[in-house]
Amino acid sequence: MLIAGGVYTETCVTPARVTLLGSGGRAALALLELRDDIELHTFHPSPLEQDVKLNFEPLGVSVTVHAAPCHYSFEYLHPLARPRIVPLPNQDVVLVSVEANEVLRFGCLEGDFRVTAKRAVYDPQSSTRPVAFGDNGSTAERLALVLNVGEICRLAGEDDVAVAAMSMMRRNRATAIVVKDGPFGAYVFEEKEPSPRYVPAYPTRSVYKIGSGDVFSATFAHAWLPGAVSAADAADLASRRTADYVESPAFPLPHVATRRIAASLGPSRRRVLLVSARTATSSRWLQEEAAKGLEDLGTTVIREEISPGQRGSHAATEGEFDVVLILLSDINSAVAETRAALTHGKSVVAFADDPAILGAIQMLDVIAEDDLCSALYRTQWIST
Amino acid sequence: MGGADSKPKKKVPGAGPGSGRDCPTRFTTIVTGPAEGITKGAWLDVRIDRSSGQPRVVLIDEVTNATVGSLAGVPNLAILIRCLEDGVTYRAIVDHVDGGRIDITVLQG
Repeated sequence: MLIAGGVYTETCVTPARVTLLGSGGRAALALLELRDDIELHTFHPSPLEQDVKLNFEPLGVSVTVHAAPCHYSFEYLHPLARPRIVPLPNQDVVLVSVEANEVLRFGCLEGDFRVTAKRAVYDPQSSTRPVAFGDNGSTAERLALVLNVGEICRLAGEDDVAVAAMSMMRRNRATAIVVKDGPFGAYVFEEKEPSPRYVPAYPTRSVYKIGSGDVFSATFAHAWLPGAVSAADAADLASRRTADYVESPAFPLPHVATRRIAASLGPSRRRVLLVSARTATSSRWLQEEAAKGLEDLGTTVIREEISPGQRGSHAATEGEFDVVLILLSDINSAVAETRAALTHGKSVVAFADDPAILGAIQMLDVIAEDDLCSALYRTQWIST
Repeated sequence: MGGADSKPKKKVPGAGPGSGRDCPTRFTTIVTGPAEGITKGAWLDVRIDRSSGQPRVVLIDEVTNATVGSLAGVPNLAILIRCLEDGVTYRAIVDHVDGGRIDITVLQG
């Protein structure tokens, strides 16, 4: 399989990570245990070409580096934060033609791959400016698109996902479209199938979101491109292996995906009561990041701020929310605040990055998390 | 090591890659292809393996002398390899073990 995609430096402040992966590099590593014919085409400045080759070729990945003027870094504060891209992407991109029977193409910052393939999977990798597969002259006899909800709605200019998918299928002459919906799973639209098939997400005990879409696309392409597996079954395998990756983001991934229980899809998106102290700047910042992350997951956020001396006062009334997320930062009040959150009678997820706080609340009936991204996802998967 | 390298670093005379002055002194990363049985606090030697042609940075358990993993997806790996080839020594300590994910800190010296 030919993988055409970027290799970028990715840094994350918490949890602390520095990698040289990007969509192309991560997809190549995600397939290490599944196949031995991985051919990676990517862009990089010539002086740094060896850096890419030395990272992937010893693992059996064939690497072709196409010269590009600069190397990009994605800097994340946490895995659900929007990354800062350094330097600012240039509008003048390099166009490179690649040809193979089976191609997985990712959208890139520094260049664009014009694909000629018998079978191809395309992941545009942009929620702000996604580009259609054929816009640069790419062609494939069988094509599947893998996009998230935001990308397909922007590409199609439609708010309704099903309408957008049908429009994109016609416009791209695609055989299948996979629309990813974060913690809720994915919807698979296939040619000649009257209705989409739902593919669940598989809850994990922790979530490292950076690169999860790359692993999904790589596994989907591996399973779907040969033509023996339906797009829905390929997407289900992709969802399972993505769960393995987000829980333990190290390579190679297990050859056989871990057995997991699928997330149940509720009738509507959750409403989360976000409880946090109204104290220091750090608490306000954390509250904003948590709210933004929850909203990006499709959640309605109701905020409750705890003022000093008002521990446990409740601004929201019963029935207005499904889950409580409490952000704890003060060891002296953590237990009281958590007990107050439990009085709502709803499931409670507690986030604290202080081990002493997590220790203090461990006897209470809450899910305690020391990782923000994991805590936000747990609010979507916890039983209500 | 790591961080944003949008362009090659300025060269200082006598301080090319591997000369010691731009060799990384400390960085954290995750072990690729970890063997079972790695424990938190274990010390690993960082060496170059050329058995498959391309140089590969491998991690050797200092007690058993067995290869327990390698480095991949790491920024500036070419510089690290040149430093190792020039005789700069590195060791790694296992910071955290969580299923198949092994976090290490690589230290010069």
